Amino acid sequence: MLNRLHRSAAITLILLSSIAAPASHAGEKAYIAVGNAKTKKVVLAIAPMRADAASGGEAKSISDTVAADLTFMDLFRFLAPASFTESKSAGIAPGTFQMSDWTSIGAEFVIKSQILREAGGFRLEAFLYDAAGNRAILSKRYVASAGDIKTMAHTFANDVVTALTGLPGIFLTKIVMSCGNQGKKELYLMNFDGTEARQLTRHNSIALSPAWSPDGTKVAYSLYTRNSKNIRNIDLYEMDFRARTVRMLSNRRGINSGASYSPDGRRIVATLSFSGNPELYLFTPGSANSTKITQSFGFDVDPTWSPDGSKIAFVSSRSGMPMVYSMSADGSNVQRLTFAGRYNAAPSWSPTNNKIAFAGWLEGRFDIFVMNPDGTTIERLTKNQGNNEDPSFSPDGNFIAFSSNRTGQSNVYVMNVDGTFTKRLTYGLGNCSMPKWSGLTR
Amino acid sequence: MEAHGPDLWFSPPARTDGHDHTGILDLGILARAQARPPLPRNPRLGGVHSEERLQSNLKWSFALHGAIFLVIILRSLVFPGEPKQYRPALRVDLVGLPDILKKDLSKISPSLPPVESAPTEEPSKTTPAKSMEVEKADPNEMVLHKKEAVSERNRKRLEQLAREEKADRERERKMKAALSRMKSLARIRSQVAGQDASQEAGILIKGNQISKGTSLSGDAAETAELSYYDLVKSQLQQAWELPVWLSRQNLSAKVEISIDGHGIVRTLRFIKPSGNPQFDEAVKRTIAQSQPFPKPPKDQADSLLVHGISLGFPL
Repeated sequence: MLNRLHRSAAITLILLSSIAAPASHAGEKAYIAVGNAKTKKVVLAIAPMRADAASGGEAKSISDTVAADLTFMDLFRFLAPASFTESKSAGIAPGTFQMSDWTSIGAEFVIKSQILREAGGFRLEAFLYDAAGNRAILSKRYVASAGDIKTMAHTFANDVVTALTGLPGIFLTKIVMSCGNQGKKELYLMNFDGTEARQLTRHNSIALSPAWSPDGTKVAYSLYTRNSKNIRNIDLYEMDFRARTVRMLSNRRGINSGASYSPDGRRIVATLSFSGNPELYLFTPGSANSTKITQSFGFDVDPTWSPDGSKIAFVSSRSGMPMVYSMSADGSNVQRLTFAGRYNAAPSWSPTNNKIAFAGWLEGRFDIFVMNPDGTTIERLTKNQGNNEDPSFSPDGNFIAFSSNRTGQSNVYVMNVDGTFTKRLTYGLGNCSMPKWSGLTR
Repeated sequence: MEAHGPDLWFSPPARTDGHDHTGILDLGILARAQARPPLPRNPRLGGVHSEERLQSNLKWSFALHGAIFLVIILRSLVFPGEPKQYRPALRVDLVGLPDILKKDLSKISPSLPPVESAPTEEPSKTTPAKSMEVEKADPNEMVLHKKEAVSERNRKRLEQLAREEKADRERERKMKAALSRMKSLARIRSQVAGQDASQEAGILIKGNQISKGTSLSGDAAETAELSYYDLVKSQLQQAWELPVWLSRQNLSAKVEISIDGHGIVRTLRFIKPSGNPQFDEAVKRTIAQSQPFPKPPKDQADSLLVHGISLGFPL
């Protein structure tokens, strides 16, 4: 009996130790946090575009557009054509040239293309090679009429960016904004790089706070109006580019402003003040019903949706100072995100990078900051350059459009999310503000 | 409160406004007392009168304190109440919005890491421990020579020598421990110095940044292990490079690798992939490129081969 007891005790001990031993070792395992990576720009070589005799001009136009687009990205380093060693007889298709001609000069990726005139337009054949892997990672043929050469070039550049980065290309996206002088503001539209700016509205009033529908076919905006009793009101309107119509979404008493479409495009969240205090309401465009999703003594404005549509970040003065908050799309789980600073406004949720940009009041001016969606790791992007407000992320998350009065007049600028590259986009449109970057238009 | 605040608090009889104020909880008395200009004190009002007043005040004071005490005790006995919850304290940095640009931050941060890596070499050059070792060794050698000469004649002396040798070994062991302690101290000192230097250089990073703090480690074995991991880390950091667009995406991955006796990576397993193929590929490339790692110390070799180490990119 005693013997058996001893044995069972021994077995239990062995069992226990065998369980405990690996556990203790697992606890000992070392963990090394390697830390942040160094960043590098990928080295790109764009071989001169081949062209038949009838399309030399188009070849130059497309090459220039593609080069300008890829340069705008600020992600690549380009090899100077002077350093190219490849002979003119080399082909563009896989196997028709020596990749060593490119790896030897340090290229990591090579773009090769040719353009041919066809009946009714042009045909562009293009390849993107991974030089180290010696393989084509993009091989496409584009066909376009003579009038669509620019679009074809942008599409090709988009495909190059997607193949390299896995992110969508932004070269066909647009920016809508509010511009004007002498108490009048109208909506304007321009390309991502500031080209082809044109006026959208002619209300002869003040049009503000534009917002894109996710498919890029509509823009909601606020407009100063006077009702039948000649009382001023701020109403919410929606412009439809396809149907070429403008319709009124909400004209309740007071403010109807700061609209933001949900990522599925079905709902709009906006600030309405008909109940007295500006609060956020959720409604379906075209319906008269609205659901109040904020309840506070302060004002609740500037809503922006998270890319998955589950959350809304907004600005509220409920704590006394305007600060950025986030909540679930139904108004629950309200969480204060910013504690630092005195006035944080106009949040914009990055579509890809899991960041929120906002304008924060510091040193007597507004500047652009970026933080994680839980309010941690605030980074400053602008400094000593006038007021910088109204950040809006590009659909690939690499850029922020914003308005700045650094020249004395308010203009729209774009910078990358590191704040290392800034470009002015608007010229001669008066004071421009509230830029909103479109989604990926197709 | 004014100087005679307490007087008015505990001396209701002295008041003449017709009300019977018995409790200190009567806030009206307090408010009125504060609102009224302070009564001038008459020096002739001392003697018997004030003694009486003091006594009655004291009585009141004792009675009231006792009552409060009783109430508190009874209350805690009758209503035990909810147990107090201790939640972890949360540290929130309320300094303000960061005033340094993100692009400038990246210029500053490279100057900080050397603070961490430098101390591992420094102590070996400069530690006073080494010079102490030399001092100690000299007399021992001298003794040894003497003993050698004498030992031929005397066995007892030989035995003593053996005993002394043993003591020497013991001393050496102790010294090694002391050395390691000094090393870690020197490390902390240089870390602190490094921090001072960076502060003197005017690098003050404001807003939502939490300092890493200083950790102490005095164990010799532990420091040896740590220094090996430091070497592995610095080798990985040199190869750890990402294209701009990936570094912007807040991606992270955790891998587990095992290292053999020659410092070659034997196995690589993703514990937590980033979900981005390009990023995971860059992690693999980084590990492959930073090979071979330095040969692991003997006592760690087994553990590194069998259990491996976890690497966080950038976690």
